[in-house]
Amino acid sequence: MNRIRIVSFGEAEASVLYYLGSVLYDHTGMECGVEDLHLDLSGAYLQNRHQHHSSRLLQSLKALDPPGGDWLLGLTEADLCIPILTFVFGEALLDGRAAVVSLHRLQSSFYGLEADADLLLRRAEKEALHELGHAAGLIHCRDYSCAMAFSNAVEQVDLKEPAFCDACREQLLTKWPRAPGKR
Amino acid sequence: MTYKPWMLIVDDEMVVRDSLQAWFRDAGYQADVASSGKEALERMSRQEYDVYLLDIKMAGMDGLELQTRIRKIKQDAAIIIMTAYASVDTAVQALKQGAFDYIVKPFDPDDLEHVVRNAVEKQALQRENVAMKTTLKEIDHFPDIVGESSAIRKVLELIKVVAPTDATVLIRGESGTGKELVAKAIHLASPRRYMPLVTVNCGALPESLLESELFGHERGAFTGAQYRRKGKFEMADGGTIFLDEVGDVSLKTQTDLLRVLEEKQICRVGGSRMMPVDFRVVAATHKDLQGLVGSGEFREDLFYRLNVFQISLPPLRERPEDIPLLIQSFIEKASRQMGKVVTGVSPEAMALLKRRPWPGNIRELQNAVERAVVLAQSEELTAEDLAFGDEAGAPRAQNGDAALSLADVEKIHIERVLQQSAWNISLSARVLGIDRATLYNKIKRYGLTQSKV
Repeated sequence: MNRIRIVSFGEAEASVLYYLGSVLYDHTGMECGVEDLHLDLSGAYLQNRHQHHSSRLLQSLKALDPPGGDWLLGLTEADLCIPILTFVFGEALLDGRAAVVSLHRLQSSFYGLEADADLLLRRAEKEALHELGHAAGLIHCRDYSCAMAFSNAVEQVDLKEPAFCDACREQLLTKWPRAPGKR
Repeated sequence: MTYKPWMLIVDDEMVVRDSLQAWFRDAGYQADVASSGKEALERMSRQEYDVYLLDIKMAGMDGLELQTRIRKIKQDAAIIIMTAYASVDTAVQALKQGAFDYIVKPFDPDDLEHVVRNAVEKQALQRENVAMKTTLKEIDHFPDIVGESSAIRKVLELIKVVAPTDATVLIRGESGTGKELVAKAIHLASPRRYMPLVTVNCGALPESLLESELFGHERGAFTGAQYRRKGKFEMADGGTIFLDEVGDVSLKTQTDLLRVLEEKQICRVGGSRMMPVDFRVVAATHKDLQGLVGSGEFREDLFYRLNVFQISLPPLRERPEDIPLLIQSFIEKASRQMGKVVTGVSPEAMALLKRRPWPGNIRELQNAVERAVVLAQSEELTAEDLAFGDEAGAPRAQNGDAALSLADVEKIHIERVLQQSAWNISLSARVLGIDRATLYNKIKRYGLTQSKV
């Protein structure tokens, strides 16, 4: 049985890593393991933007060359971007079993609000599901409440559910027998 | 199969081409790239594109020239010019020459999505050369609202009547009667159903955060605001805003709400621009708003603005004939979600369920059924699975419990539920009536571990 290996780039909030480790099993039916592996971020740093290049982090993940069909999910506290976009919440290799998620803009404190540990976990769960959905071959969904809806602001992340619409779920079921449908 | 629009990205920087192409693929478009104007024109001979993204500064043929060449081949092409800050003037020139829009590098994801979606929609309209078709079918089925009693049939009728209009709806009913489900049904049966339904739990809004929550804020609006934030009204643009527990808001908040409902315009905190927003309002309350108006606790003008069309939800005790149907529906839903085979209820358990007064209404009934499905050992729910606080088999107060703090009791209860569900976080959270994230943080706070149990 394939599994999801969860790693961090630099230090990432441990509670988020372990939370995802526990709920992603419920969502995917794949065993999830948090690995004590803090990958180096420095090679992805973009000096002029004070951000990290998410595609380079994905390359580092792929370089781990997971055996068989294992999946990789990288989490980071760093602010991510791709050169053409001012920021991204995460990035995945489409149908490539690897994804990276940034917690930076998922934290309420980034928006000048009080830290909210529960909200951070909920947002991280939705973004991890979203990026893993891409890594399973799904594209963005028009249903604003589906985990595969495109979010360009954190409020849109909050509108989504940590679950997939019927159409996206249908596509996922061959890979994740327990893919969650919306309530 | 849904049509996937074709994009052509023309830029001499490889990193731009690659990242945009990946972004478009994730977003469900088909995208080709070209590194020069010449290559772009060659590609056009093999593939018809819906939208063109052209970098303005390229060696050889620049974006402006390429735009002119593309227009000669395809007069109605939707062209988006990509530019750096330094060349915004040239982008304006491109607009004058008929570009659809321009976008400044690096793109804000929000801007990119809007510009591209608008361009695609424009193309789709041109291609079909027809007015936007209204495909709204009459919806007369609301699967989430279960029941056959005359009281619930009347509610369904009212939803059907009001949903297609844009009228403001006030839903009244005790806690747990399904006010949010009715709001959702109204939204889903309205022409706004493809846009968001945004819920604002008015009772839970702390006064201090209210403005930012409702209207959003601009970057730098206050210390720590590093990035702009959209408010609930802005998020509901084009859709429906559901003001839940509207009777709980303070008089100051009522004034703010009234203003935005009347003007349909918002201004983000720290911003100077008034933004028009298009939303439909559905509000709900468990309180007697008219009574609150009489006692001066609720603004009369706001009450009349909300009370355009009223739907009153009956408490569960007034429609006991719906209880078996509701139970069956909750069993089906819960067993499907939990992957368990539970198909019905034993006669004793049904009698027990029908006898209860359900002060917490449908929500309480649903929680009881879900909890029973978690505990069920057979295909039928039994009386033992229904661990009511006052029934046999229920967790009873232990001697000495009175000396425990609320936190101790919570810890013990969470531990017990986790044990019963074999530490399945999702199931336990559902039984406890909290979300997974909250449960997880409580497990961490109380230091609960699987081995300890």
